[in-house]
Amino acid sequence: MEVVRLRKVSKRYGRREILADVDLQVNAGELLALVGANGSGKSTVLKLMVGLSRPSAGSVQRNATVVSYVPDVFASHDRLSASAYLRHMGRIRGLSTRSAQARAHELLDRLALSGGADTPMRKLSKGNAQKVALAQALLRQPELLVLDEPWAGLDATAHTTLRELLTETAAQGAAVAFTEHSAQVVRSTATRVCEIEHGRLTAITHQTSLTEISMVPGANIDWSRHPDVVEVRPHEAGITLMVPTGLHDATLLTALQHGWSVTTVRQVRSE
Amino acid sequence: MTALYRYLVTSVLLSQRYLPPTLIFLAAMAVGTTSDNGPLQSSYAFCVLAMLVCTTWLTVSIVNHEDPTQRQITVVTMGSSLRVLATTVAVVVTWCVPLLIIGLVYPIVTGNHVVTAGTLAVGAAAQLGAALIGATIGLLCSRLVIRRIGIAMLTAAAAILAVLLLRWISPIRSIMTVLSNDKTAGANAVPLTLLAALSVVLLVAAVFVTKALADRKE
Repeated sequence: MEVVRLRKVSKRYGRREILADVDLQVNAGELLALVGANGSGKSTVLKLMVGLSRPSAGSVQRNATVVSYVPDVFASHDRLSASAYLRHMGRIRGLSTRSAQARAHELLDRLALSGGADTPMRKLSKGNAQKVALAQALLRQPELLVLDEPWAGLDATAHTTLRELLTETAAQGAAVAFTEHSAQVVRSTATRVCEIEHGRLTAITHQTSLTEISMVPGANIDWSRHPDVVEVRPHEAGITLMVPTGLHDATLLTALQHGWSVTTVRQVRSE
Repeated sequence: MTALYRYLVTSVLLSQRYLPPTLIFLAAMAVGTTSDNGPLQSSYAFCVLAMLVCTTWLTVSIVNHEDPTQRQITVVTMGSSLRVLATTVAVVVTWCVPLLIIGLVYPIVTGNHVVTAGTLAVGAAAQLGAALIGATIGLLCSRLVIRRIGIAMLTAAAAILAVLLLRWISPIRSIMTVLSNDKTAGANAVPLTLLAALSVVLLVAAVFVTKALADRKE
């Protein structure tokens, strides 16, 4: 199902043309990554998707009632605590006070907000403020989730959590669109990648699905040199590999032959 | 809308940005109306002037208190910038109520006046009109319309001078004229109520103009 569609969209600020003839749609369950250089028009596309900006020409059609947005920088000088802010946002979204509070704590725990949920928003670091921005977007399951460079400023643990949250949100039927500069993050998260250059959509590529393999180390293997491995994430209990689905059997075989112990195997992104 | 209203009221309350205009209003009351023995309507004319300046400042403070990115999130969450703006104006009007009560009661408590229900009604209508015109100017000089705070302050000062000096651009000059005449409160009640109603219309128009200008900038 098509959740948002941009038809022949152009955007001008005065004489400056930011976007020209952009045709793009995001479907339910899809993870769309917008890539491109700074100032290429990625953020403008996202603002058009959520209705924060209006096209100078063309049209934007949205088939979503619950829309969530995470800006590139979430600055707040509010004296409200992170938990109180999320409670209010939850109530605005139609949740009861109790369920908004429970959901806020669940999300902040998962994103590991340092300093705790009672920290005033104005005292949060950039990364922690970004976690609050992410939490507000996921208080209620969105039908359209739009994130502008959501990984910026996040610590390594939160990187993984964010990827999991986005994958789960898409798996529950949401259309997810985000911008990101890291090729590795895009490869391991997006199901479709759109490149924007000087305000024009230049390339659209579909990505294969990925399988996540968590293992406890055995004999020494440099997985980053392994041709099938897309991403290597070391952690306390061992490492997690991202491998294109279909090629994971060979990776598992290599691991087992070298005495590695496989703890979990799961498909994290479906085609 | 109720949840958004509660959020904005709490956020404004904690921000304390309403304090400077409120304290200035109290100081103006103390300087301008304490120990006044003249007609109560004349004291209320001074309150109208103080109310206009302070509600302009208050409105700018309340509209600007939410950071731009935070406001973007609020707008997307609500699904309409008009609803967010209308609720923000409702918060501004709520904050004007205590000022209105102070403006009505302070001259009576500290001065020596003959108080009638009619004079109180006239004072309330006149100060409500001034508060709404102040909110109108504040809205049009907020960050949503004028991004640079220095230019916004100069524009607001010029707008306040203009509404005080020029008769036909707002109801303020007419309100001041009505309060300064020698007619009874009963005779002044109707024109002042009509002028307050006109102020409501101007504020509603300002909401739509601000929304249109703010949306155009995005």
